[in-house]
Formats: sequence, structure tokens, C-alpha cells
Amino acid sequence: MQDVETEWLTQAISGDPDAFGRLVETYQVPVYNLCYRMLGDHYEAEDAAQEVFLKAYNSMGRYDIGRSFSTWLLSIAAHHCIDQIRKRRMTVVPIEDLPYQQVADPSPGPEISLSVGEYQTQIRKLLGALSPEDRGAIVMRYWYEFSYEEIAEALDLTVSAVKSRLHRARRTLAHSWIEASSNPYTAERKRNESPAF
Amino acid sequence: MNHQLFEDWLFSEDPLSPDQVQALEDHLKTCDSCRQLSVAWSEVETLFVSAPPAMPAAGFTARWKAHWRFQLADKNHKRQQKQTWAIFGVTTLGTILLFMLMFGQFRSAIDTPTDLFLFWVTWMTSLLSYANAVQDVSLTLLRTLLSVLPLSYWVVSLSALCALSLLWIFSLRHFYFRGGLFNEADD
Repeated sequence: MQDVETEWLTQAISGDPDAFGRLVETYQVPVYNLCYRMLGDHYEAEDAAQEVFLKAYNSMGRYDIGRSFSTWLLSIAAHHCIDQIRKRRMTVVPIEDLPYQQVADPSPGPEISLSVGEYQTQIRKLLGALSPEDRGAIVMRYWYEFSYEEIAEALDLTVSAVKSRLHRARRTLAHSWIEASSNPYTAERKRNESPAF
Repeated sequence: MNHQLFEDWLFSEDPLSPDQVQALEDHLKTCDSCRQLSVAWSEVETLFVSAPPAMPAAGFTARWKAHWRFQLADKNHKRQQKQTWAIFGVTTLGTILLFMLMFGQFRSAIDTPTDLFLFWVTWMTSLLSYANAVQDVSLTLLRTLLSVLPLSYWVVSLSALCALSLLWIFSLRHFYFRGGLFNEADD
């Protein structure tokens, strides 16, 4: 698989869109998942993931084949999402004014249990309490098992800055969890089960 | 009581020494707020680790390819627009310069409407006589060449010229519509 991927990468660097299409097929889930965790919305995540792959395709000339492609790609995704969150903060648009976009419905089908949606909502609320950079560091650490060094490389930070961000983020997440548990709706549920459900 | 130190240990991934682990356990037995934080973080961590990845809707790669083609077409369109504007700008600038030069000569030659008329008549006459001279020379040259060179030479030369012209047209077409050809190949 590694050899095949190296071949696709070499072809993509020389501008072959079909080879890059195979890379899109391979990495669509990690990139989409990172965008969704960062932005908290399926439609925004779809747009962001598409943009990330376009940016990556246009920057393939600058990609060093000796480096990990997933780290490089997720670094582009994290930076793109951080920029999107900053832009979103600057322009507050009422949801009614947003243009309708024809995107395939990303919601899970009825065969997928309801708990998946509940998981996602709970995680989205928790991650929403973090700054974009802290969110990026947490997502990379827990969903992609990136080392401190990899997170530092992806987010253009020092290793000590990553450690400090993760530490602060964990504290914020724990406090948010306690707060959510003390919410009457969640508290009612908690009599029988964990606040995760 | 120093909660800060225990909180740091709770949220740090650095390994703790056996003494530190013992001190933390002892502290958690007596401190409600730190225990609450410890339980909360462990539940959050479990939630993160057990959460399935968010999946894109089916057909993501096909949508990306469509997006890429649209961006490529847009880029080509913008480049063409830029080239058109550049050609238009250069032509306009050239025309303005030419008019300025002509106006300079014109001004020095003309003082009255009669002078202006005479100037134009002289200019047009000299232009026509130049054209006539060029035509005479060309015809003489052509007649001489026709009588000197054999017919086969003309057939070969014209065929080569046609082939070169076709090659030039196809090269232009290939470079100009490179994106389009690329797309066709991709489909």
C-alpha cells in the first residue's frame, strides 16, 4: 500500500489529477473528520474538505515526498479550518441569509443507531468550548494519535506550546463536561447513565 | 491545599513517579473538586476515543473532481481575460503613441486649412507611389522566379508551407486548449 501511495504521490506531484483523485479517495475520511470536528457542521465540513484537497493539489509542487503525506494534508486542513473559524467570527450572517447549497445529505441513514448522532452532538458542544488552535491540537491528538512533534509541525507551534495548549484544552473540556452534567436536561439523563449518552 | 499541582498532574500526559501517583490518589480521596475534574476528564477521554469518525456523504471524490474542473475552467477563463486586456492595453498604447508622433509631424507641417489639404494630398500621393513601386518590384521578381525555378520545386515548397501552417495551427490549439484536452482525457 505504501509503495502504491508513493507512486500516486509521485504522479500527483507531476500534475496527474487521476493519481490525486486516488489520494482523495484514500484520505477523504480523515480530512472530512478533522474539518467536521473543527467546524462542527456537516455542510461547512464538506466545503472545507473540498477546499483542502484543492489547496493540496495546487501545492503538490511544494510537497516533500520524504514527509508523511497525512501529516502534511491534515496540517493544511487544520490551518484552513482555523482560518474559517476566524472568518466566521468576523462576519456573523443570519442562517436565513445563507445561500442554499445542493450537497448530498450527510446525515446518517436510519440503519445507523441514534447514539452516533448523540455522540457527535456531545463532542461538537465540547469542542466548541475551545479556541480553534486548541481544538486542532485536541483533534489531532485524540482522533489521529499524532505525537507532540507531529502536532507542532502541523500547527506551526513549538512542542512546549503544544503541551501547554493540550493541558489547557483538557482542563477546559473537563470543566465543560461538569457544566453540561449540571444542566437540568443532562442531569435528568445522568440519573440512569453517563453524560456521554 | 495546593490544587494547582494536582490539576497539572491530572491533565498532563507526562508519566508520574510512584510517589506522585500516591500523592494524587490521596488527594483525590479528600478533594471533591479535583475528583470531579478527574472523573470528568476520564469520561471526556473515553468519549473521544470511542467516537466513530465523521464520514463524508457518498461521492466525495466525484464532487472533488467536479470542483477541480470548475476551478480549472475559471482559472483559464481569468487568464484569457487577462491576456485580452493586455493585448487591448498594448494596442491602445501603441495607437496613442502613433497618433502623438503623427500629430507632432502634422503640427510642424500645417498652419492653415490649405496647408492641411496639401499635406494630406502629398502624403497620400507618396503612399500610392510607394505601393505602386512595391507592386512592380514584386511582379518582376515573381516572373523571374517562375521562369528560373521548375514546377516541382513550387509544388514541394507549397506542400511544406501547408504542412508547417497546419503544424502551427495544431500547436496553438493544443497549448491554448490544454485544460480542455486534459479534461477530455480525464473523462
